[in-house]
Amino acid sequence: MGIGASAGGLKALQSFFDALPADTGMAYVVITHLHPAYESHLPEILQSHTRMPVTQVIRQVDVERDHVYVIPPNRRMVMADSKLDVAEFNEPRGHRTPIDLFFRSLASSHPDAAAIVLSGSGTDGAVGIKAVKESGGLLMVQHPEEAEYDSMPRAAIATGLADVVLPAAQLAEKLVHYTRNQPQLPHNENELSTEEMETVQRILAQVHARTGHDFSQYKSSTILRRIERRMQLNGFTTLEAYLGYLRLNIPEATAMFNDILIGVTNFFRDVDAWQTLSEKVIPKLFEAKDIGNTIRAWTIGCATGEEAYTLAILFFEQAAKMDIRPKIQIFASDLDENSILLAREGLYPSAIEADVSPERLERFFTREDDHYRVTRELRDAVLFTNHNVLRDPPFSRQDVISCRNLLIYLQRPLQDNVFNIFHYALRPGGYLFLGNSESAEGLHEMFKVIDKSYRIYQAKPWTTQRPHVPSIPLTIRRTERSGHHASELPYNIAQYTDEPAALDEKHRKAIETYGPPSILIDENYAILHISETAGRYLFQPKGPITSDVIKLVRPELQLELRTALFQAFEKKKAAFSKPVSVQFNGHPQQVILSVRPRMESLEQGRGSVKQALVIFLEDEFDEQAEHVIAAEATEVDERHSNTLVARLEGEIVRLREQLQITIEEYESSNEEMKAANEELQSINEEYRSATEELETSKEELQSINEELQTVNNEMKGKLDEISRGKDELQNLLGAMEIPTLFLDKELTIQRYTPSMQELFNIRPVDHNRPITHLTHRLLYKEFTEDAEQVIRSLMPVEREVQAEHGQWYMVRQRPYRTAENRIEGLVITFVDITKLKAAEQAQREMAAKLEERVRIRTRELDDTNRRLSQARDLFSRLFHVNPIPTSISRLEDGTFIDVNEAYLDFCGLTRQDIIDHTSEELKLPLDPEIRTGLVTRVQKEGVIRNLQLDIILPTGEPKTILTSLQNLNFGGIDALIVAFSDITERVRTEREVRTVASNMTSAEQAERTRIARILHDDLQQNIFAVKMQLSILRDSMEKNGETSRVDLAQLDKWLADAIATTRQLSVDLSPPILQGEGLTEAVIWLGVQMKEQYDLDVSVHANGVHAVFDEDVRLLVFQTVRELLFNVVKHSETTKATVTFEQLDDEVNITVSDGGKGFETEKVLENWKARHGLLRMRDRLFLLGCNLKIQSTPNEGTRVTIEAPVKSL
Amino acid sequence: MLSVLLVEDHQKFASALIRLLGRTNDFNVTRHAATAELALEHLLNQKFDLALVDVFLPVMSGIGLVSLIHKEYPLLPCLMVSGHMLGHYVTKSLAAGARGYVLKDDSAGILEGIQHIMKGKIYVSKELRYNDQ
Repeated sequence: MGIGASAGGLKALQSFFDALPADTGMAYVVITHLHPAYESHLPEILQSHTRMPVTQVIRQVDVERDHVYVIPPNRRMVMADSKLDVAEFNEPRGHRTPIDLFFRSLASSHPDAAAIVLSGSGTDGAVGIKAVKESGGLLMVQHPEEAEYDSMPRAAIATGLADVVLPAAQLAEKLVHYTRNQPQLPHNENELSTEEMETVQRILAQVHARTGHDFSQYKSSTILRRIERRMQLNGFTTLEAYLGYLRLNIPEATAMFNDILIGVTNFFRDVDAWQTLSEKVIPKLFEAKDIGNTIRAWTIGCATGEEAYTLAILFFEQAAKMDIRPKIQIFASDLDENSILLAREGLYPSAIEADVSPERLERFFTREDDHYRVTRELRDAVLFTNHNVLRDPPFSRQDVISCRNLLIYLQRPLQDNVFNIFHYALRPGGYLFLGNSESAEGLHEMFKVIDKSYRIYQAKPWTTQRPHVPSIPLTIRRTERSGHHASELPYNIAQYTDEPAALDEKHRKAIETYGPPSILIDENYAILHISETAGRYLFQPKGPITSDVIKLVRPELQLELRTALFQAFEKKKAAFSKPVSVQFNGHPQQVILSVRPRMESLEQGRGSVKQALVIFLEDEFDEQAEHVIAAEATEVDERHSNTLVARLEGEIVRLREQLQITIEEYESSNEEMKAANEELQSINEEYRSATEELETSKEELQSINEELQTVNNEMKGKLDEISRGKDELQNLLGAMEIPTLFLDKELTIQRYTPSMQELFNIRPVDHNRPITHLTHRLLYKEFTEDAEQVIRSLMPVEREVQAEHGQWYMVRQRPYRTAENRIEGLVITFVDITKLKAAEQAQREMAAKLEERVRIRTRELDDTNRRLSQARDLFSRLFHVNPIPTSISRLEDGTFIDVNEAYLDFCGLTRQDIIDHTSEELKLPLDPEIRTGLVTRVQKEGVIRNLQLDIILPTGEPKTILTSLQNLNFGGIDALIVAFSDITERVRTEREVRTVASNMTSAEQAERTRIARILHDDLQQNIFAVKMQLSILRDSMEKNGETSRVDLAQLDKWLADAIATTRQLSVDLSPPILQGEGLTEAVIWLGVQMKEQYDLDVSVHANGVHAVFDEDVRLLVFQTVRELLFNVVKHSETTKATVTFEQLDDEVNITVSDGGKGFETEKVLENWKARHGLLRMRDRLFLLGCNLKIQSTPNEGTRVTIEAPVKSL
Repeated sequence: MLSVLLVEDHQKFASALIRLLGRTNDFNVTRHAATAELALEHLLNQKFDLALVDVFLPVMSGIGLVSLIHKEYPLLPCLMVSGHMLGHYVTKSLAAGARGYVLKDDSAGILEGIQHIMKGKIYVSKELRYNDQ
């Protein structure tokens, strides 16, 4: 079994093999897309997911069960017999389809193999699976929603061939189920039992009823294989069980139908056959055609169209070589409606690259993402139609019929009928192109062999006249099924061997022998069967051998028989002839012909007559009747009658001859009518197909029409816009206060704005008058010259012109350009610039004032600069005398700009050593990484204050410094000021204090623990012993009836109290819970203790706090919390307290709060110290790095928060 | 007469307990060991019907001893005798395989516990029963 996967397939493979048992008895071949240059680790990865051995195939190997084989990089893998082999790719990278290649070889070597397509991009596998499916294999696809890359699974599902679509792990289960459940039907119908054959028939009847397609005439081995596959897939082992399932599940019938009609085909499937066709047949076709002619071809069983398009491609390629190009028309038909839809779409996965050469892809396809679409030219040449060659009238006058791998599904008698149809549909000399395992040999009268190995045949011309279309339909229509036809089915023959059937046979024989002679004929009057004694009524005339009963019967009977037959077939009931005299060996014999039609569909009372029985009744009594006639005749005058008889006889002979001629004429015209009818049927069929195509193109036209309507609407909108634009222009001109004048090339007035009237004496009647005729109020003598100048040079002219009343105008003369860029005149505008002129004057005055101001400001600036340099001086001096070591360096590379004396002292370097060098060059003690981190932080935050750093001086002396960094602009340079002080001593002291405090806390706790142990181990044990002795004493005194002067019961009670006190004391001193790790647990325990001993409800909130503390911190915090809770009991006058833990980054806040009476923090704090020692506790906490904050308000309660650092790791 | 192994490091309490048990005719404290190690030595040499074990012993704890006994002598029932009232110890003892846990100041409980355990029951001192056990 083969598995194909690509991008994202690893995960799918892992879950597949995880779910797969190691003993399935199958071999697994994994094909993936691997990078050619990298070694693949796939085998190792898969090995950890299965117990089966995993091998990467590097040379030819024999495939074994329960092994996994993996493809190596940069190789393709093929399967032959039971060997796996690897080979180089023939294709360049990017065009390789290893999954397709492998699936194809798998299908031809192992027809019942399974193919699985998992996650991957691209469409590899989509072509190969067709081969697997066609050979009878199983096809499983990973569910696209589970797949990381769904394009490969989707391409596989789009073929419509997938049997199972499930997530990878469930695919494994399904596969196991499938292989464990192999029904093992025999592959030959003869090996089936009678019951099984009946069941098969019933299964086919179900499919027939549900889908309307009858497969009972299809080859039984093929059918059996498909049924077996369906059974296996659905988990049935017996035919009966599957039949039951089929009855209840309607979709299963359709699935079965699709399985039988696997429409699998590729482009150029069997390349050599197509090559032969294109060399031997196609050129001849073209030679025989003229420009007006059409080359017609018919592809039967075209499935999804590849074969039809292949043929079309070959035609077009041939046409390209010819001068005269005939029209090309290819009919392509298939039963499956869905396939036809796909074929019409003409869209194929890019995996067809494997079948179609790049030149052809370029010429006949257009690329659409992952797919190729056939070109319009190719698509238009092919007409797809849903057509059943066994049921619908055939197309006619074809030059080529290509029918590949359809006949293999049909039984032999049906094949012969189909060949008849082919011969009918081909024009004489037309070619028939069959699949590899089909043959038209043995039909010498119809076909001539052109190429034996590639199954190309040529139709022989019709011998006499055009043959009939074989009766249609060849398959039984649903409504016409009857017992008669069922008995013709091969599976039922066995029934006649039963004993009652044998009796029936004997009876029939007896009837034939002793009953009247009879002949069984069909609807064409052809003889089907002759009874034993009927031979003497027949007579073989000269000419070709015929089975036509009318021609064969004795001439005397011909006329009567024709009449009787006609009546019988027409009226569908028995017909009788008049008695006819027949001479047997010279003895006349009266015979009556009886024709009894046999009806089809008797139960419905209608339907056509298919057969008839002609019975020859020889009636002995008729001899008497003849005597009567003879006796009557004797009464007539003998002489008179003799002449009369002679005349009548002559008349009869003449009439007979006439009748004979009429009959012959009738027959021949009947033949012609039949032929014409058939022709019409075929033409009708073509029209029907063409109509279907037209329907499709009509839809396209409709959508184009809709598009046009949209365009039209858009145009309308634009028109509206234009007319609105025109209105706007009108309004603009009117609203514009700027006088505007439009002149044509002769300077006549075309259009002007109303305000023009102020400048020129224009009136509406002046339209088309030259402007030179009008006077104006401008001091503008050059007006006309300028205008002519503009028209000549096409350069605009601008002038500032004064009017008579002192106004100033900016006169602009511009050429008037049309949309076609032609010059049709002038546009002259007169912009009133009187105000502008005034403004210009004002501006000049303003400029003078500004200059004065600038002079004042410059003086001020000089002053400021002087003060600034003093400040800089001051800074410099402060910087250098500052006792804190400080440096200024460039931010980007750390080069020192300036350092002070203290810095030089700290480093032990001179100024010259430092300036313009980096700390790295000088090996100053700061880790470059820390420096980079600090620089980044400073850039972001601007300043870092009081950062504690541990450094090591060049002398090896460790130092702790407290440093501050500031980012600033120092004379245009992005600089960093660093100041630090040496706090090594301080830090050391702090550490020591911390150690002392820690030791103190631990020692204190150790002492508490020791006392607690003494209490428990020593004192308490002694009291136990005393108490026990006392109880023995009491017991024995009681027994002896003695009494004591001491109250022993009270003594016992005192001892019990003493035990309780010591117990509580030891627990208080050293709570056992403290021996654990956690602080929160200890505080929870404490809460319980407080409730038991002091009736204080303590709720502890410690959700999500898992911090670990230093031992001393933990002990001290615990004791502090206990102290705080005691305080609540003693002072707050409430019975409720809350302890809250809050986890921060590196510390935990523990807050003890109550809702008691509270106090004024400041006032009471001094008092507190004396009373509770809590502030002492605070000091000690502080020594261990903790902090204690007290917050209290009268009548609102008290909150005390301990900030405890978590253990540093 | 049942033969009893007493493991108790406090001499005074041990002798009081031996006397208490000696007052009934049912028991005989055959051996007294002050440490778990000594107790194991006795177990090698002699067969006992019952072991009374203190929870805290100097080197190996009483609970450790019980879990060893439970493994090596599964038929020998153990009763813990302790001054500790913590539920924690009770749980650990029973988990280690002890059949009961009685307090040292509960004389009546010690005797009752022994009787219960010999009948195959589990016994814990009354005072401990309604703690979180």
